[in-house]
Amino acid sequence: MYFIDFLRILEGYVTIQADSVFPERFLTVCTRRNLEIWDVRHRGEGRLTANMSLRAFRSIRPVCRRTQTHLTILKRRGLPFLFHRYRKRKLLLPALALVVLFLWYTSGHIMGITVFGNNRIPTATILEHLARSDIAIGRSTAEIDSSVIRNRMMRDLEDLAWLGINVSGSRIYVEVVERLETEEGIDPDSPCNLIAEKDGVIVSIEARDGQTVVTPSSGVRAGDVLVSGIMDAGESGIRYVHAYGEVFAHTFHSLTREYPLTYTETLETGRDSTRYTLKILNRELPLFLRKGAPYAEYAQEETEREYRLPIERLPSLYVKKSVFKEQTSTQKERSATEALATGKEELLAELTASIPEDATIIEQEISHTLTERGGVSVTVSLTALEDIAIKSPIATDGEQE
Amino acid sequence: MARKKRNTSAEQPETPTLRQRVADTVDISKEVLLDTVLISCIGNRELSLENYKSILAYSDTCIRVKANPRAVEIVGAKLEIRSITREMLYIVGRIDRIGFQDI
Repeated sequence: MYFIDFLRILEGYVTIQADSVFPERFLTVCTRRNLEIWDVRHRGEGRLTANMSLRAFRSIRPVCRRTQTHLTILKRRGLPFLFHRYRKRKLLLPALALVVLFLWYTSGHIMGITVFGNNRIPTATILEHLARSDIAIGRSTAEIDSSVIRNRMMRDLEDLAWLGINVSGSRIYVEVVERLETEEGIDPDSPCNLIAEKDGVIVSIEARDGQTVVTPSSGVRAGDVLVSGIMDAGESGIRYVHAYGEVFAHTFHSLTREYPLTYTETLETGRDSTRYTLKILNRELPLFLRKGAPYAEYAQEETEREYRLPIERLPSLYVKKSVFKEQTSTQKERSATEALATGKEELLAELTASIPEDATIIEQEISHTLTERGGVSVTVSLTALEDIAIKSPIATDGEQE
Repeated sequence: MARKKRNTSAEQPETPTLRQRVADTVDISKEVLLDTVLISCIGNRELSLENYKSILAYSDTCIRVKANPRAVEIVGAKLEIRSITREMLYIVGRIDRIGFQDI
């Protein structure tokens, strides 16, 4: 029944009121002439209302004359009336066509990619690999061969155990399953040495497997073997093991920088300007008129947020917020003591950030000299206690029996 | 020679005509062969009349339809002709009584 109603709306129909001495005769003549009429309702003596198709209504005049019926149109419904009403709006049809075209385009192309399930592999890396396999915003969803992409990505990304690519509407859901971390990364089938990651003086060695080749207090260079994965197996020759353990050493870190007594200080003035840009389907629509930077000197911060409707076929809307903070630069003078203090603070922060988090700083030394150009050369040296052992695989092709 | 008038009174039982006898023997829809009205009801809410002739009277409480062999009268409340074509009449509403009358 609903389908018939839909067809009637497409074709167009009118609700009429028929006034006649014998409305029954009007109905009978209508049916004799095959005029489509439905939903006939009695509305009092000699009056009825009914729906009539547009085609039937066009040939109703002789029927009315013959049955002496007066017809009044109560309602007009359907597409022909709608088009007639908007006939002077020239842009309506092209706009409608554009909307249909847009919906057709968005329903067959990727409008958003959601990556989930990844902890170690960054989402950006996955998106980059997907883009290489032609999965990116705006690309067609019809040609996605998930098994080919999965195999390619599993080959390229070591940590990837499985990849699921599901197309839901025009959004791609990428389910990432990462490899389980084996206990301390030990794979007995892959022999390796422990080598020094950086220069240092050995403090202690805790080798759980492998042959220790260095002793405490000995100095090592980066790349030196600390614990060998090649073990002496007596009469049967040698055997390869997966050497692992920790080798703690004192490492030395140093940073020197010259600080002139005349310097440029950059300060924020407190004034800022925010600009929004809409981004849809990789097209940017700036929501501001003025082009170019708002200030002569500024620092810029950008954040992007994604907005999407629960309808899969519609593309995501991104709102990019750019905050321009005005800055001023002034030439300033400082004393040698102030330059030393600044240098010490800056260099210490940089050095501390460069050493691993689990390393302990044992000693720090700060020295300075006055340079010929009138600046202060500051040197900060740190001695840290850290694990310098890293694994280095041993090539055993054809050697092990 | 004047044609003999067919006896249609309710009191005397009708003798089956040749058509009726053929319809009884042959497995063909009787309403087609005998050109009579076919009434189908769904409960007392919907009713369809097939092979009717014309509408004699229409109001929301009573609809009289000319049909063969006798006129059909549907009495009820809020009667409405949902669909009307040359062959079929589809009536909805509360149907209280269906009867046959002489035209």
